[in-house]
Amino acid sequence: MVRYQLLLTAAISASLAVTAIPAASWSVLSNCLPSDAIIGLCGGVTAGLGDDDVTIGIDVNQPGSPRQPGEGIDGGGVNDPVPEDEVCIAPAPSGPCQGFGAGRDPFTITSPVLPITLSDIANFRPSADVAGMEPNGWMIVGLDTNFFADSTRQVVDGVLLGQPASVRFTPVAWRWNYGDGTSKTLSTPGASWAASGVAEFSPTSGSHIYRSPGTYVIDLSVLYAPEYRFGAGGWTPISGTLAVPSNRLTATAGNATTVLVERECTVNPRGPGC
Amino acid sequence: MRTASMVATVALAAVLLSGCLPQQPTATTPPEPTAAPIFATDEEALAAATAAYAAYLAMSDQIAADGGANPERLEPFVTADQQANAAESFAVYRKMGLRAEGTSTFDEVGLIQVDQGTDAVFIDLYLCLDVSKVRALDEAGLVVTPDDRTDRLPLEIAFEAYFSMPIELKLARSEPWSGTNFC
Repeated sequence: MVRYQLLLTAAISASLAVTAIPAASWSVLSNCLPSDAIIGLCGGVTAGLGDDDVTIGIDVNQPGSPRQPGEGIDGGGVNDPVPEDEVCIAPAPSGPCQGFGAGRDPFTITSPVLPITLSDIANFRPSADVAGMEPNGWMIVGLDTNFFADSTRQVVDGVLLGQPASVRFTPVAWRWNYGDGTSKTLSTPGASWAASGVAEFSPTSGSHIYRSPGTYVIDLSVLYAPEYRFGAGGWTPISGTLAVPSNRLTATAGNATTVLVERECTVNPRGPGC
Repeated sequence: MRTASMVATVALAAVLLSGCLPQQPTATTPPEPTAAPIFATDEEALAAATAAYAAYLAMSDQIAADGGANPERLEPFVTADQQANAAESFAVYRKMGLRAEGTSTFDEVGLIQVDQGTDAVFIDLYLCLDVSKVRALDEAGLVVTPDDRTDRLPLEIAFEAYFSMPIELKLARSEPWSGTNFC
């Protein structure tokens, strides 16, 4: 179906002599192959980290050498979009670079600077997430143990290249090492059973099943995608992610046995079965 | 005589039961060979999957550069399901007269999980696919790269391999990463 739609769109495009592929009119594929990505068929992903994201616009082949108007990545083909490149690392209080966003003058190039990298923001550290589990501190062999993290987007203020700046850290992946030889990287932080609205010991996106009794050490690293801004400018993504370790959890897995007791064991701890 | 024979039988039975016969060295059945995991470590699995994706991507780019011709060249790199998807994708190239120019790359590769079973291994990873250096051209050679194309895509990739020598990791899944964009 998607392909038919595509062909129809192509036919219309041809009849109107529109040479650019109108990708926006296509349906998004759940599958995303490189060949689809090349012709703009892959979608359905968040385009940026923030709602006001922008493109840094520096040609990665030539750090510090912004592309000139009309000189696109693809060498200036006839259908190149109007270039939106500009380098506004430290925007002036007024002028075309202010805000990095709407109203910017696409043809203004300010002084070239190197792109900001992870090492430049080494002094900006997000605080660690708090990893949690339930049951807290123990698990039952063969049943789901629920793991989750209390992750939020964080903004850290500081000085970057001599200018007051902020770095925003958005959690994007949660890497759990369950201590039993398995690990998993998740795209969500997970949530408690109560918050998920499911019964205890239900499987969740963050749950894990231990197969043997023992004591396990569980580690979580949260991967953050950083963005920076100077003053009140727009957020600019920084390439790469930052792994921040969380608190370590230690828990014991045991087997559960159901026994009939006369009274609750908290009431009569010496009773039969307790 | 009958009694003597009976006594001898009972005595032999007693000796056999008590295990007191002189032990002859006997060849014991060796334990069933346990299937050793294909990859000793997660890092090894990740490295193998990364190399497999690079080879897959190079072939995919080659077919795209050839306007989608002979997509069966991708078969050694993908499962049958993915081959069907790829064939469909390249059919669009042929029907629209499109071809690609440039090289796709990927980075930010991370391991999601490795599942090594007794007869197969499954490796899930995430990565950023980067097609910013690839442009789409039409039959006349005009650039038709969509203006709003997403150049860097966070993907969730799955490879699988069934025990064979040599191990052949095949791409089984390629989907957009469901969480926040990390590319």
